[in-house]
Amino acid sequence: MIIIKNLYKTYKTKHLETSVLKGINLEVSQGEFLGIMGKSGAGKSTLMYQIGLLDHPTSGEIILNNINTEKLSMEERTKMRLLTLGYVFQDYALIPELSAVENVMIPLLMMGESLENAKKISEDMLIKVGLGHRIENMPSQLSGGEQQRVSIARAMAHKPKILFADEPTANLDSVSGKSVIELFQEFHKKGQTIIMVTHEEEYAKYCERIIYLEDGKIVKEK
Amino acid sequence: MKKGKSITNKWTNILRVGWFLAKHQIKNSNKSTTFLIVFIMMLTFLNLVVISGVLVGLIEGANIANKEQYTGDVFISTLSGKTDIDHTNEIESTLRKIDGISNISIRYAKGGKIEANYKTRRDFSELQDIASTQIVGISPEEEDKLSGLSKYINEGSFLNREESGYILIGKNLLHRYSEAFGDVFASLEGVYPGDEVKITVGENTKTFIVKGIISSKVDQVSLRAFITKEDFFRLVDKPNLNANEISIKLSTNGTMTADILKDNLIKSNFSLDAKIQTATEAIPEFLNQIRLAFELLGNVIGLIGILVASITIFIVIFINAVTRKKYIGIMKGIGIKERAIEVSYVFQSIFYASLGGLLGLLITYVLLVPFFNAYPLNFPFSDGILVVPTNGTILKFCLLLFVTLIAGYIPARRIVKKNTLDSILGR
Repeated sequence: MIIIKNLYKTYKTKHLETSVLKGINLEVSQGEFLGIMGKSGAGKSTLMYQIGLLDHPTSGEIILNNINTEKLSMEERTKMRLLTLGYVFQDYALIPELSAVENVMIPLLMMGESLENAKKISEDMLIKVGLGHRIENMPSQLSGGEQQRVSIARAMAHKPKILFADEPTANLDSVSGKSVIELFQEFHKKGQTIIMVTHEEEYAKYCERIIYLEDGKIVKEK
Repeated sequence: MKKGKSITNKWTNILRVGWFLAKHQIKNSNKSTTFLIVFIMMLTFLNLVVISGVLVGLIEGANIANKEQYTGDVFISTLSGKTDIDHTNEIESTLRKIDGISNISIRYAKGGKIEANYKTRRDFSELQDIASTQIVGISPEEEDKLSGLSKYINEGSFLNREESGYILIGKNLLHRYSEAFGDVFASLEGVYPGDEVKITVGENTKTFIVKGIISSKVDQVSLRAFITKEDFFRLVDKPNLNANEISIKLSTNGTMTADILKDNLIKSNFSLDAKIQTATEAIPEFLNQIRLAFELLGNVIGLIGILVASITIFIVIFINAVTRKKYIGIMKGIGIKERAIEVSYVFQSIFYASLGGLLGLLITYVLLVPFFNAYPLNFPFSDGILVVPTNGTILKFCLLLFVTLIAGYIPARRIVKKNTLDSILGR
């Protein structure tokens, strides 16, 4: 499903060049739950951003579902992110002026779903993540764990082929964090491909496979 | 066909999502800020419409007064090079038979002099108290029905057809009313109703008693003196009964218009005997020029207001987009098209402008126009009204919308097109 060949990412400023990823080769199968771990600055999030089409690598190939993503235009990349990928960010990333259900509806509306359908799908997804009683609440009225579950609902509502999660439990207490990971487990059991960046071993153990990055390279696999 | 449908669907989605985002942003934004922005838009619209409307209204007020008190809807006057209107009787009898005409006033006019205070003038080396003017002979009833002349008597009373030897004098012929004009023309000292004045036309001189003083802002009324037409014929040497002016007022509920009447009179060859004009055509050219200049001035002032309003919108949208850069990045990240996000800001700009503009329209037509009609601005040469033609006003409303649309789009585009990841990470 995901093939990464010889991936390099270098950030250039006026005076400095920083190589963050140095020749990553990786394959992820459909339905796999992959964890990416490493120390701070190892390149974990950077790797995820490249695979998730949020950034362009300096060189190398990223093939998602047999599509070479480097050949895609900006519009095609946006479309691919909308239709086939889902994102869960560390700080929930909910739109503050939209309620829980409206946050989940947004990508569905962009895909062309009618307002009624989008609302129905979003409400069902919120119920699935245990927030049936918080559908009309604004993000400011939700706890951290609840906000993250809304974020997961938004990422999963359109049934993405791959779910990306960047440190999804970093800002949560242990109870909330566990509930989030359990949600991921549930989705994974139903065949969802998940790539999760984490620095917490207790959550990483839920992954099927873990790769360890150090200094921009994969140094270990478990 | 498929490609066309797909483009329509794409834009439908963009507009839908843009509207969805805009609606919720406006709903959840700070109410005071929203109110302030809408208030600025309303003031901008009022500035655009009312300033030029009042300036043009000064002239329009004068034009309306000119029509109501002097020309009527159609004005027949002497051809250039002639001394009066040929075949006046024929023209009059034709006019009196036409449906759609409510009133006619036939005026006989000749240049003359008014001398006042001659009885009290002891020192003959002093200048005589004389003013030159047009002496106009009228039928008091017909003139009053056409122009409402009796309403403008502010001292004394109106003429009576049964009476002879009485005169109405326009206020600007009197020094106490025309001091502001300085020495531009001679005026009479201390003339009041009941005083005797000598009227000289050609070789003929007669005394008249001042019946009343007319106060009007129309020069053709306030710089003239009026006597009955019978008195006029006794005063002047007039070999024929041809008039010098015929003012025609049309019925308000008829289908006859000034242009139609004028065309009919021309087709009857009366244009060989007289100059036939509609009220609009009879407006002096200099007034038209002033009107154009005022319109331009008003529009320039209005455009400056629009510029200020568009800068306000630009700043509001820019600050909004900059402070929400992260969320814009996240929306792009999860697949929301840049266009949809930009459109949401455009919708917000249009919301502010259209609500402000609509409030401005309401204030203009429900409040200001009736107010100025009831209480016109008191200027020396006119009663200033507020002129807001519908087409022009709608055009200005659309201009405000368009300018704010651009002012909202530009900053939104600047922020939205920034790198997605940089926006998400706050780089």
